[in-house]
Amino acid sequence: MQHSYLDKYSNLNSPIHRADPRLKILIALFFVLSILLTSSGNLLEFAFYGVIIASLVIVSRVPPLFILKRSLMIIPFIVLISLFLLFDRTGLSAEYSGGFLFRGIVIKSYLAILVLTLLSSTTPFPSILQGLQRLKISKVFILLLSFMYRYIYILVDEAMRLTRGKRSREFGAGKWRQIKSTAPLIGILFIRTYERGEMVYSAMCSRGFDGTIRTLNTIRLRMAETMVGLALITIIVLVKLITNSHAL
Amino acid sequence: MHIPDGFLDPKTILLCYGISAGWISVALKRTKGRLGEKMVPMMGVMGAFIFAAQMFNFPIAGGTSGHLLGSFLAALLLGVWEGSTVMAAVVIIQCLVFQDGGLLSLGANLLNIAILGTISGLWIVKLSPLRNQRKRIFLSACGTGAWLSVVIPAAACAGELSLSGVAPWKTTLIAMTGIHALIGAVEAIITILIIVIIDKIRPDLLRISATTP
Repeated sequence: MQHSYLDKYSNLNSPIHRADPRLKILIALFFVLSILLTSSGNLLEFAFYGVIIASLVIVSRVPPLFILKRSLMIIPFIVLISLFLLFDRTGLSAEYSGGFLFRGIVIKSYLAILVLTLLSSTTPFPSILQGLQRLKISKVFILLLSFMYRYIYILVDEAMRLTRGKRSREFGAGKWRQIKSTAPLIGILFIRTYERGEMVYSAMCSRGFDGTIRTLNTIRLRMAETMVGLALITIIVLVKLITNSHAL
Repeated sequence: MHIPDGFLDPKTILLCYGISAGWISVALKRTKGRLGEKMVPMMGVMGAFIFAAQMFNFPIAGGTSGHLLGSFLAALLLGVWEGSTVMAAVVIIQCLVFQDGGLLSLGANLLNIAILGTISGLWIVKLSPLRNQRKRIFLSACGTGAWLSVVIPAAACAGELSLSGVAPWKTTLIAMTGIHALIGAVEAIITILIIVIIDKIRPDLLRISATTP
């Protein structure tokens, strides 16, 4: 069914897609952190970060339009925060105007979401999990996440089937009736899911499941990748140093 | 509501990550202790269930539509620790796959949705267990719990924003709780309707989770 929108471009083939997920997660974290620590007025530094992200997008071969579209996710939050900043500023530092603070926050959160979108559209979720596991995140939790990710597709399908059935039964019903007939579907989905969980568990038991899940370990850190990663971090640090000395 | 990156400052980020990491590791241990090897398959499908439940659209005034958030429902049906575990998994996948909430604000989003969302409403239901009360009292307790599970995280979100110095404390709190009081009312109605149907078809599922401490 139609849920190809989940992580559509994460299976392309590019140097960024092939890179070790651990490396990508760490670099993304470092990048977002350095974006966050930029002072709101330093437009030159923001511009450099924008250029770095744009060139990474080009290397990754993910369509730029897709990344732009996904990055619009933050708009509701920005609208909300702008209302606060533009109308009431008690308790905020007096040296900056609300508009100035607002501009800084919008640029920061926009750049950060671009980085995050790039990470998720160049790394399939299972490899992100593998990377997280190698970064010493609790193994049980990683297993749970991977199990859950697998079942999202199945249950979303089920939810769509239920919705389609409901729509065909009550074409043109009023709002309250629609609410009253949609909510029970969630209850039914819960019961079906619960029963499915029991069945999955007994199916796993009958195939010899003993609480541990063994997976093939396919990720390895290549020397060249590490060098490129280090180079990227160096570039980010250099940008920070240069633009800040310029501002002084 | 998921906070994107760029809104929180480093001290708030560290604080929230610290609280969330501590709570969730305890929650994982408690869940594992109760469910054993059954934990991964059961909690896994339940996480996927919360995801799918959020896909159902409910028409609300003026062409807008809303959906279930599910923190309270997860806590009620599965228990506090199990609910926290499941909601934490949901929030992490929303962040890493859908860019819903930032990488550095993940700690704050976990704190609001997976922790405060699950514990803020359940105590009311614990005070009025299904076993010895009339059904109507139990259902209204559930409604109040669902409402609280939306409003309290919103207040916490306002607190985190003003702690970071990006928004004034008073207005943010009033605006956030004001908007979410309405969202919470929708959540309460949907949750009650869901509980009614579960009680009709498989009352055993409700009874086990709603009455165990």
